[in-house]
Amino acid sequence: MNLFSRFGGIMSTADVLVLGGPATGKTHYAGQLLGRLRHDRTGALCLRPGGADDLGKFDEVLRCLEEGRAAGHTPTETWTGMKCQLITRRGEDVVLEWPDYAGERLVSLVDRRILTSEWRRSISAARAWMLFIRPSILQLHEDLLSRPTGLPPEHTTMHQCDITGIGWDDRARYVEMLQMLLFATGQSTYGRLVSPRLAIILSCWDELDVGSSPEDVFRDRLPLLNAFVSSTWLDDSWSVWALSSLGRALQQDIPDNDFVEQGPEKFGYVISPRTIEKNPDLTAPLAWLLEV
Amino acid sequence: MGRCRHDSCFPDTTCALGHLDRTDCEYWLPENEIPEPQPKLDKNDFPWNSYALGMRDLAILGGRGRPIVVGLIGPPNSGKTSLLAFLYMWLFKYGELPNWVFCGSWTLGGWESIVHYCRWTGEPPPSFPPHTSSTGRTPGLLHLCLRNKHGVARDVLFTDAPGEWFTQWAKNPNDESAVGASWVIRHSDVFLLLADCGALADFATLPQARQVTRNLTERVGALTAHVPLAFTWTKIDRELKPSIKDRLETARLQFAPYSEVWETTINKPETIAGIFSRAIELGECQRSHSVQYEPRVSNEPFLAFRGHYVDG
Repeated sequence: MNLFSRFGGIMSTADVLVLGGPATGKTHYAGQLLGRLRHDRTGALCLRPGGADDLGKFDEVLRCLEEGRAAGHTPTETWTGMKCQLITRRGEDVVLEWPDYAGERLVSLVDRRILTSEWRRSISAARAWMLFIRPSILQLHEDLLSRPTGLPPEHTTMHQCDITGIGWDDRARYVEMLQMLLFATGQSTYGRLVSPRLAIILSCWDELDVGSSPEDVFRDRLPLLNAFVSSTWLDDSWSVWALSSLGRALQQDIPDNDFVEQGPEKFGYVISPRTIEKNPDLTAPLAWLLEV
Repeated sequence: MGRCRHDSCFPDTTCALGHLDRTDCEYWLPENEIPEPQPKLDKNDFPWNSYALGMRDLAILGGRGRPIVVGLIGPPNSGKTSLLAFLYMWLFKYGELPNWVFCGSWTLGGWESIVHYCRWTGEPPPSFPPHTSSTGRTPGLLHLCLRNKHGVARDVLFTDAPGEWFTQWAKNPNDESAVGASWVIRHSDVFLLLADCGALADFATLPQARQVTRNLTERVGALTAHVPLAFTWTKIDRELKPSIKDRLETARLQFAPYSEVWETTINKPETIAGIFSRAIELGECQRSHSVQYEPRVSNEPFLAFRGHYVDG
């Protein structure tokens, strides 16, 4: 997406909306991405010299990564953004504003069903969504179909009641969340969507011991969500990526010597759609979303 | 300072009823009697709350065309809600039914509430959903949006109603307690009439189960000759004596000869996915229509008018 015409203007909203529950790795990715954009100029996108508006917002994250430690949890009240002036390989200017927030906000969207003005602004302005899903912490329940009891079936004697959002399986929760966000965009889902482009990011990939492509893992672990996304978006308008922002697990209190020695920009990778090879260019999903 | 309760009175206008002194008006409220504004409860920025839809919720689907309504009919414990639970569990596992891919639902909370009891969430072990409550007067409606291989999306509603309603309706369709069952009969585009092999195989429950199933077959068959009907044997893993099955088959042929015959068991969940796929297909045929456009043969005004209706 060439946003040249808007370059230099006042942007108060995001072009890429980052979505993800708590502990799905959004903050680490933001820190690593900023590091890449500043120090590594071989990716599909790089930062204009001095193009980051306020590094102070990510000061703590960047400092932790430089020290080889994991960053802390984003406070729930936080709504700060990373706003950068980027340049593509073709020399096009792109402005990226990426709001960051604690994942609880997203969970509460499904449970409380209230869309704040911040959400409305971001949703209506975003050209693309980046949905973080951490497969290793998904709340997935086995049921009578996936794991029969082997006993004659009995009806429960418990009373019928409505299960609140906390008790939902995450496969349903993600579908509901996307439905709500799509409703907020004012779009009908009766026809398949071109916009907003959707990148599903399977985060903390290093925690999984798999040799499959991101799509295969997505389809195997979240078939309902996979069906929803594939039947709601046109094929070219969504993609699945694997991401390990750090390449390994860091502790909050014990520094990782390799990180300290080589610098965080030497760590982390993505796996592009339909591949299984690691790609150190962490900007690749963003470049795909922005079509640069 | 007080406030007027009359719809046509405003703070900056004179009294709509002509009182020179507004405090003389019967609609005038002194300041100490003005009620506190009530906080808005249960605020929801979305037109659905994710639980089973009621009649008033159907408006959110109206803009997308009339949904296909699949009516599940059967006596208590014949497996109506359990079939729905297995339908959702199937979608959870595979994401699609034969010919239809999951494309969303406005009632995910409703589906989750049904399958909650079928999940391994600790103690107690998973079981079938609880008995559907017979309170209320309209059935719960569970929604799915499904897309076919041609890319066409269809909204489908599944009725989740207690079996007692249908038992009563089979006895007396005009009974006050059968209003919900009547709604299902009136609005469904396709029916699944459930015959419970479990109850029919047990001598203790056989007489009543057979009677209710026969009554329902007769009533439904008489009223819904224009609507696709599937006589659905549930729990077919329970062996049924041929004589029992023959009697109900005779009733089916007598009262609903146009009906299809389906069989399901949870031991073969693909049978459940198959019947719902077929039901939607039948419901879609019921709904489908084509618009016939008059061919334009000339732009001459004289020839343009061809009467109020011309048979093409």
